[in-house]
Amino acid sequence: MSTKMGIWRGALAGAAILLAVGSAEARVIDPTGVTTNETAAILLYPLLKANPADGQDTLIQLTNTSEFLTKVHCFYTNTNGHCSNAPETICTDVDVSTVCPLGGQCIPGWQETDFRLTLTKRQPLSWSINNGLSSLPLASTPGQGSPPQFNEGNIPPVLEVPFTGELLCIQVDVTTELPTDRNDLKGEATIVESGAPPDNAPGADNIAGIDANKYNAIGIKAIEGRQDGNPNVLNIGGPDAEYGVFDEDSDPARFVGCPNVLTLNHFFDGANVVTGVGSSTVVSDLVIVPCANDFLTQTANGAPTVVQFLVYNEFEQRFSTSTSVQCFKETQLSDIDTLPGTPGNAFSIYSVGVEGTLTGTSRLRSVAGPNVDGYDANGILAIISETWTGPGGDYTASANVQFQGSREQGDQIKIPLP
Amino acid sequence: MSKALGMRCVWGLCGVLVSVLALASVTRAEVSTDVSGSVLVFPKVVFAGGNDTVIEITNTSNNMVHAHCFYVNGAPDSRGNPLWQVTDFSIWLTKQQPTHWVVSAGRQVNPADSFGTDGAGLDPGAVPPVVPGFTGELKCVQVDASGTPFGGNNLKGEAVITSASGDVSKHNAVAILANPDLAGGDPANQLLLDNTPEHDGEYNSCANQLYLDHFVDGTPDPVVQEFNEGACTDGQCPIRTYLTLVPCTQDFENQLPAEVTVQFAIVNEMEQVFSASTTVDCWLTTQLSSIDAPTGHCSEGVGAACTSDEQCIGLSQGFCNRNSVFSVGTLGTGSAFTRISPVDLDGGVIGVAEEYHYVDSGASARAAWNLQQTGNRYDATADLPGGPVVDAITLPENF
Repeated sequence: MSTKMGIWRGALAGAAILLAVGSAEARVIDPTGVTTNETAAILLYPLLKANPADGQDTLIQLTNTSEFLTKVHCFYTNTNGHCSNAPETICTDVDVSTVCPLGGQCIPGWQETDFRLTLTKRQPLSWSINNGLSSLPLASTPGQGSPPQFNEGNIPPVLEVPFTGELLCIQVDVTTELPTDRNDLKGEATIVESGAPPDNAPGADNIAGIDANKYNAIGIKAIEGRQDGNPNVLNIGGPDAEYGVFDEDSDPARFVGCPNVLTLNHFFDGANVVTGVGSSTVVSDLVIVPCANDFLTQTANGAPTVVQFLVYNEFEQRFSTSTSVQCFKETQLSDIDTLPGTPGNAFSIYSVGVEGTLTGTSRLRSVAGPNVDGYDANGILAIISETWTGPGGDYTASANVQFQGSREQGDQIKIPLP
Repeated sequence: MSKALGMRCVWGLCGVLVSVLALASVTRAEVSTDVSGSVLVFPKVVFAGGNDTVIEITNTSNNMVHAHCFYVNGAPDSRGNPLWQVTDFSIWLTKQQPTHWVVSAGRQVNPADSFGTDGAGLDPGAVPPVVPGFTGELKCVQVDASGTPFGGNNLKGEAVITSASGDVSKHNAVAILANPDLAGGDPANQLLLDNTPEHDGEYNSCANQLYLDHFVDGTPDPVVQEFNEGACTDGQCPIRTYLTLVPCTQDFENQLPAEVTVQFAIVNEMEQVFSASTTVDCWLTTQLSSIDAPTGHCSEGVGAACTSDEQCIGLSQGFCNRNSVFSVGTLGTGSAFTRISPVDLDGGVIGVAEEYHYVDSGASARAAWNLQQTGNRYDATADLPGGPVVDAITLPENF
């Protein structure tokens, strides 16, 4: 028997074993790739906010859950828009007509700032994005492990305030600083606003003089053993990467794929919720960010991604709308199908007056691009934030949205190498 | 063995290894807040202390879905033990239908509900209100039209806890996914949480360990300190974390509350490790620092003994500070990472956390979030003497 024949026979035997193992393997019912339940190699905090004038800041929590020293490469993305005719003025689609000089447009921003740090054995860290962390807790004092581990690096504050944007952290190898196949990171973000009541200017718009909401960072798991090849291009899903099982392509998926559909339960804008302890009117903001990012060339994604919405109310009546997202979108639900700002909101399919029921459910599907190289999925991730307005003022609550499946095409995150 | 034969064996083995390596995956099988499931657990539902809860549930499928829901009242009785009173009801949801109700009011079937009001929409069935003082959980099990558990994995949900001040916090319901091939197996009223990557079972096993990132108890809120200094005199703007845990095992047929002892391993930002433990009897909600320090002293005034912040706030004596391993005085850093593990052959637990951000007036804002997890209880105990641990939810039999 030749050596080649030996390989083929061995492979056949392997396939037979796999078939046997596969048929005997328990049925695992958990088809999503991204997660807010488990630790991961990539963490995405989709919404950060800091505005000292309003007493607002975001507290980031980031933890290494493993017993090994871990390095993290993080990217703040500043998505502030600026007036086309007053570049120093920050604007949004809602306030462009009031803050920009006449004739100005609000140009969406996409400016990244990156930093690196190490986390020791099971070490948690927390910092405010307005201040950063100039010195890490174990920078000069060793941790408890053997051998003792130290923190390296520091965390800069965000470079512009007011700040609206996102944070992406990637677990990298301690020595090479290249992405690894370990999944040890978890995180949360807490957006806090505080000011002196009763007028609360600046500060939280409520009688307590404080408001807080919190969400889990969204994790993208690395696939074990797949961090070779092109280290600055992170293939999120991709050809045959269904549920993390991949084939032997030359450029295979290295991380599990982004979800095919996002599902979220929400109140329709303007819903008046009467409880046993009071009543409030609810409006919701949706934050959508693409799975793909190009930190290498510091450019926003190319063509905008179209996001399709299917909306059901409590009568099982179905509505739909769509919008587009280029690099970051924070929008009130009612603004998805009407002009930004209050005018027209009452006519939105997200208005309680149109839907007739207080709550609904939405299914979000981004439209994939042409399948040229298998990495144009235009996958998206999101969180939802509600503002409840009652006699006591405004209070907010955030929640993670849910996921369904993953798609055949993948996305790519391109990063600069050390 | 000849050299040629040896080489054939080596190359053959390589072929096997290549094939095996090609099956690498990251499949998981625990409970989840990321996807819809067949059992929804809302760990924290309250209508007490000036709080009320709004429940949202959605059928994520294109088919009619039935669910059998159970309120479990874990409020303490006169001796301080959980009541463990169970009230159940059924709901029906049409294709992709969302529904909601306020637990203090429930939801009546009234087709005449006005457009845009609380009861508008296809009523999912009669949902009873909870009693005043209710603190406990809501559990909904997907069933078929006959009431037999059904592994469709079509339910998702959220809970919003509202307070009299208008403050709100929101968390996702925890979904236990079913193995559609085996869910509803004999005995149909007993749901075994024993499905794992290593074992073909009915429903996914609960997590082996829960992960909780939290600000250490009593640490001054850095945002209040920086932007609202007048509301944080002498650091009196603490952050408190409340943890709610429910056992995965529940016997609604025999009204037997489950008991799980859990260990807490706490790591601060200096990588220093501390530990504590407590027992979850039916339902537990506790301030973290109360786990190992039931009493404390008010931070201002004469330092009166206290068991809650409300006592000290009511006396205008600051907040109730405790000597706990969760307290800032012990941990010494702003945040910590806690692993929560059931001991020995105890079953799993499901949890949610809620954070209170105080200002010195005693007013607060809350934020809730879901815990993270690792492993599963079944596989983790499979090799232990007496293992594996199989959590079970036992429903009342039809009669």
